[in-house]
Amino acid sequence: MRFKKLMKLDWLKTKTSNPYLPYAARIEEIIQDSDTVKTFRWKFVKRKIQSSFVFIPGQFFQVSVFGIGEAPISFSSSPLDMEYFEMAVRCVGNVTNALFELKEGDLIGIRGPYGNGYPIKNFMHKNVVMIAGGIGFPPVKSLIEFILDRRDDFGDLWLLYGARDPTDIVFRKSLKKWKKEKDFEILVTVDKADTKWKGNVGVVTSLFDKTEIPSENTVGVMCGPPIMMKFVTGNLKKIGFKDYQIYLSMERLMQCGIGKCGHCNIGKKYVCLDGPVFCYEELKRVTEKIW
Amino acid sequence: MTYLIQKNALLKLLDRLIKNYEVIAPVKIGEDYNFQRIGSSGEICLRDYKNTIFSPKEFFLPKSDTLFTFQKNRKVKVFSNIPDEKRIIFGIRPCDVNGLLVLDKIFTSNHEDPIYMERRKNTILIALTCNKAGEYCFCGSLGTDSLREGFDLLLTDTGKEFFVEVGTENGEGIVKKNYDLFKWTKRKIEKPRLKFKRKVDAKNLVTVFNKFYNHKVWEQEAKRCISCAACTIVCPTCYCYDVQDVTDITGKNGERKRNWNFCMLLNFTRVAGNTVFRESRTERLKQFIYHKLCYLKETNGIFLCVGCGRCIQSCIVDIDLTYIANKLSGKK
Repeated sequence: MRFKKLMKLDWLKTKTSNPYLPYAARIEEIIQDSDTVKTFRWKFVKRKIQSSFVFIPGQFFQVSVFGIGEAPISFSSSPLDMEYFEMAVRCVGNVTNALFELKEGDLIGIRGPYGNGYPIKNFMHKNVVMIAGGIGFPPVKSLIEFILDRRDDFGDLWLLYGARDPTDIVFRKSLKKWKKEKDFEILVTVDKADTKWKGNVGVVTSLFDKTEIPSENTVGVMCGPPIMMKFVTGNLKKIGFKDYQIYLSMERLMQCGIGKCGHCNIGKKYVCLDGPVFCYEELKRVTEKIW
Repeated sequence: MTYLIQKNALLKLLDRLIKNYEVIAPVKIGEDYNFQRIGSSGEICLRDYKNTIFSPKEFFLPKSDTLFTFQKNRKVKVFSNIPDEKRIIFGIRPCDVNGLLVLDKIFTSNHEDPIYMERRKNTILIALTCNKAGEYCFCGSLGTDSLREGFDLLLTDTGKEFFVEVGTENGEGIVKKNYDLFKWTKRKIEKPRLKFKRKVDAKNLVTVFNKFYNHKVWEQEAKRCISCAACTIVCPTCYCYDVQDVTDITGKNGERKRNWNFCMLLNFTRVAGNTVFRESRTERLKQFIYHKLCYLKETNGIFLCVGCGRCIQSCIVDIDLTYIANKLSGKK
C-alpha cells in the first residue's frame, strides 16, 4: 500500500496553511559514521504525521535546529521504512554543526518532502549504475535500499563510491550487507590512501576501468560534488550512455524549498521544484553553466 | 463604473480614508519621491512625480519578515502569525501594479505563500495613470503601461479633475461610502499617450537571450558592475530571500525570518564547503537580467520585468538592461 502511495504524486500538492511551519521530530538514534558524518534517525512527534509521511528517494526536506536555522538535507533511509526516517549529515555549515551538538531525544523541526526524487518508474526493468561521491552518498543509499526491497523489478546493479580517505567512508555496515547481494557490484575508492588501505586509490572515475558496464538498458545515477558529476557524465557518455540515461542530483542551498527564495535557480530551472534529480537531457539545455 | 473627482475632493477623500486605514502614498523627500505612510493628505504629491525610488514591494515583502515564531523548552511550540492590517496604497503607478500581479503569480503557484497573499488581500490599490514617461521608463515596450486589472480604483489626471475607473468591489465600496465627493460620468476619456526614450523588442527577447548567452556585451557591461545589488533592491519584482532564525538572549524564544537577499551578491549561491556557483560578476549580472527578461517568459509566459526603469536609474555605473537587450537583438 505504501508503495502505491509512493507512485502517486498527488499528495505532494496538499496545502498546509503556512508552508514554512515545520513539524516537530525527535532524534531517536545517532550513529557516528565517520569523524565528520553522523546519521540521525528521527521520528515525528505526532504519530499521525509519522504514519502519513511519504517520500521518494532523492527528495529532500528542510531540517530546523530552532534558533540556528534550516538546511536542506536528503533522506538516506528507505522510503519503505515506516518506523523512522534517516538523514546522514556532514558538519560543514551552521545548521549541520548545530545538529552535531544534539543528543538522542532532542527535538528538531522537519518540513517537506520537497523536490521530485528519482524517477523510479523509469529505472524499472533496467540495470542501474549508481555513482556516489563523498556526502552525495545518502540519497543514493536510499535508492539502493528501495531497489533491494523490490529486487525483482530491477536489472543488475553497480555502486561506484568515492571517498576522500579511508576514514571518510560512510555506511560501512550497509556496504558490507550489500556485498552479499546477487548481481550487485560494489566498488569503493579513496582519493588518498593510508597505510592500512588495500583497496582502490584514485578519483571515482578511475573505477570505470575496473568493471564492465553495459550502456544498453541501463541508467546512470549520480550524486556528488559538481566536479565529480562533470567527469562522471563524461565517462558514462564514453561508455555509450545517451543523455537521457544519465540522472544527476544537483546541489544548491535551498532556503524555502517551495520555489520562491530564488537560491536554487539554475537557468530557468529550480532545483527545489524541477530537481534535485535532473535528467542530463533536460539539464544540458539550460543556458547557465551547470558545474 | 466611471466617476469624476475634483482634486480638492480627492484630498478630502484621502483624509477620510486615513481615519480607517493605514494609507501609503508617494511623498517628496529632497529631490526624490518614495512611498511612505502618511498622516494627512497634505504630505502627498499628486501631479509632478514620475516614479518612486523604491518600489512598493516592501509593503508586501518587507526587508525582514516573520514567517513564524517559536518557543523552545522541553517541547517546541511554533506560532504562525499571518498579518491582517488593512491598508491602502495610493498613487501606485501601473508598472508597479503589474509588478504586484507578477509577484502574485509567483507566490500563488506551487505552494501558496499565505503571508504574502494575506497582505495582498488586505491592501487596496488606488492606482494613478502616468501622464508623462520618465527618463528611464520602458513600460510601453512590455505592455505594462496600461492596466486592465489589479487595481481597486484607477485615477487618471485630466488636468481639471481626476477620472476614476472602478476595478473591484473594494474600490466600488470606497466610492459608495464617499459618494458626495464623486460625480458619476458616462464619458470615456482617452488615456495620455506616453513617449518613451527607451525601448526593447519584447517579441524577440526570449529567442535572442537564448541565442546569445555568450555575447560579448555581457563581459563589456559586467566589467563596470560593482555588484552593489542596487538594481535588485529597487526592482518591484525581485523577490529572492534568505530564511534565517533570530532569537532572544536565552535562545529559547525566537522567530524565523525571511530577509531580502539578492542574486547580484557573491554569497547568494554559496553552499556548504564554500562552493559558489556564480563566482563572476558577469554570471550574476546575467542571472539578474535573464531572470527578468527571459526565464519566466519561457516557463510562465510573463516577463519578470515591468519596465519601471528603476534598475537603470539606481545603477551608479550606468548599466542599462535595455541597452543590453537591444545589443542582443542587433539594434544599436
